[in-house]
Amino acid sequence: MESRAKRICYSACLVAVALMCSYLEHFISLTLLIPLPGVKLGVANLVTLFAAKRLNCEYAAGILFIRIGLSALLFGSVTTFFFSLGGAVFSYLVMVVLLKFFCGYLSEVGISVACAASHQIGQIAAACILFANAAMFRYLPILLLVSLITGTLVGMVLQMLLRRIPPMQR
Amino acid sequence: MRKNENIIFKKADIFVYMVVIFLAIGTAFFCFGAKKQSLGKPTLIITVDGQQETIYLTDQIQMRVLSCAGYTMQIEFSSKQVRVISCDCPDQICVHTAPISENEEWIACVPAKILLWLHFSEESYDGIAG
Repeated sequence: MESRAKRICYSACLVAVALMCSYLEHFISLTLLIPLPGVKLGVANLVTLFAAKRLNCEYAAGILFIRIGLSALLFGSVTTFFFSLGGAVFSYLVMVVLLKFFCGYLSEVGISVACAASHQIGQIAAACILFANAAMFRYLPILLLVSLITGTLVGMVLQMLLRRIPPMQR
Repeated sequence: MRKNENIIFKKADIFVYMVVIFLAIGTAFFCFGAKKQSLGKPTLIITVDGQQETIYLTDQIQMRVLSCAGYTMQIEFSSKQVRVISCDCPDQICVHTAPISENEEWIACVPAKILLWLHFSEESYDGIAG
C-alpha cells in the first residue's frame, strides 16, 4: 500500500515535469529549423518513457493522458487534444509492445526512435481524420526522418537519466 | 568510482532505424509519385471547420482573413505561393510553416481547424466559368 502511494506521488511529480516540458517545447520549436508542421523534439515523451521504465506501463499511460489533457486545457483546445491523442495512443501502444516483447533486444534509444516515429504516424493519421484529407500524409516521409534524430536524442537523454536518477525506494 | 556514461546501443536497434527509413522511403514513393500525375492550374482549397472553398490562383497577390474556433488567420496567396502571415493560435505552427508552392502541399492550423491545401487541378478555368 505504501509502495502504491509512493508510486502515485512519483507519478504526480512526473506529470508536472511532463507538463513543464510540453510547455517549454513551445519556445524551442524546431519548426524554425525545419519549417514543417508537427516537427517537435518530443521532450514530453521522455517523461513517458522514463515512467514506463521506472514504474510500469499503466502508470506511464496515466501520466501521458493526464499530461495531454492538462496541456490541451491550459495551452491548447479540444482540437489539439484529439490531435495529440492520436500520436500519443499509437506511440504508447508501440512502446508497450516493444517493452513487453523486445525489451531485452532493444536499447532505450531504439525504443525511443520507434515511439517518435509512431507518434508522427499517429498525429498525421489524426490530422487526416480531422481535416478529412489524405494529402496530410505528404510530409510523413520527412517527419519520419526527423523522428530518427529526435528519437535518438531523447533515447540518449533517457539512458543518462535512468543512470543518474536512483530508483524509487520501497 | 565513476560510472560508465557511454550511450549503449543494442544490435536490434538497427532494425528499428531500418524500419523507419523503409517507411519513410515507402511513403515518399507513394506521396511524391502522385505529384507528377497532375500539373494543371494551381488551386487553393481552404477548409474551415469542414467547410471547403476552392480558389483558383492567379499571379495577382491576394490576402484573406479566416476565422474559426475563436482564432483569426491572415493568409496571402498567388499562383507562386501560399503563406500564413499571422494567426493568433497558441502554438503558431501554421505561421512557422514554410510557404507552399508545390502540388499537394498544405498548411494546417489544428487549433483553428483551418487547412490550406494547394492542388494543381487539371480542370481549365474556362470550363469552370462555363
